[in-house]
Amino acid sequence: MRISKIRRVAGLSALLALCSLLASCEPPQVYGSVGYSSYSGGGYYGGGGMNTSIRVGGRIY
Amino acid sequence: MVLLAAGCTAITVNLPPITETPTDERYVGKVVWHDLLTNTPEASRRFYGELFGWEFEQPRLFVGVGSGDSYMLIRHNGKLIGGMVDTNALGKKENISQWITTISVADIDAAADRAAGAGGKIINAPESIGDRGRMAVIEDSTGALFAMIQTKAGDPADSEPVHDGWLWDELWTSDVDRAAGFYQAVFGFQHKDRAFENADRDYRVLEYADKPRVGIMENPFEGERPVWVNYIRVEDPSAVTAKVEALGGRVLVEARARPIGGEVAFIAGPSGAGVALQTWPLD
Repeated sequence: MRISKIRRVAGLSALLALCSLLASCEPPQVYGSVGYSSYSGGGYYGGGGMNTSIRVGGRIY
Repeated sequence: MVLLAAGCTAITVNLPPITETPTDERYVGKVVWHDLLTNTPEASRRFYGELFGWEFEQPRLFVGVGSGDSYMLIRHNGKLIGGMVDTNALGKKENISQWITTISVADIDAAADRAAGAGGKIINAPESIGDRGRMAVIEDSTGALFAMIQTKAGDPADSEPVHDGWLWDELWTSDVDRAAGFYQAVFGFQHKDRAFENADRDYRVLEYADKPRVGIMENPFEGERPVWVNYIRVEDPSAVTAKVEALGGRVLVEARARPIGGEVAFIAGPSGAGVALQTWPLD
């Protein structure tokens, strides 16, 4: 009975220790997020709206 | 449990290769992959699926921790053509939606060093992403975001662009000379100035081993941040733009003829990420 209780306490302690260890880690990288999570700039969001004078490039050859 | 307790470094990202038919060659300067960063993944999926017939799927290899659909592969005609990253899963407040252009290198560590030396900012240092190879994310010397990859099994072979597939990649920047110098230093590109509309020199083509790879031009949208713009080959730009708004996107430049030949248009998907449309060949 006493040994069983000690085992339970030991197991719980180990689990708490593991949780603590994991909680202290950096958030794991989300699949596919390499490099993008630390980027704070922006791309093109179309703020300028439709503009008939805009020249778009494209493939030439 | 033991693996996890060993530390966070045990958790790695494993992305599948960029092609299912690798060549074992690395074509320096070639754009080999496109990732869509989007904060509206479902709407984006529908948008590109309806417009271009693209199909989205979860990768089979899942090693990282996070939501299962935070990264999707994109196929066209059964062929891998890109990926989609759900930026909501990154926990970011800013909208960083955009298409990311990924350029091939032979030695990514050396290329990253050259990028830093040429005035670029290393957003993410070279890192293994499993079967895909090693990848780095860079902000160029003018502020545009792009990625570099040293593929593990090699790049896909050059092929003719197909309808509703990628056609061309081009940097829109506020300082063409500075940007050209940066990309020349990093990739070893040679450049050619091309008359595009009515000027003698208004478009710069960067080549590697006599192969045109990417273009650079002045950002046509005043005040917008420098950005890589990717072109999709379409049969009829007007037919595509007619469907854009119903799918949650915006038409930013209506379809128009180019003096040099063909037609172009510029649209934004539901997240605001821009993408260009172009007919090909020119005549």
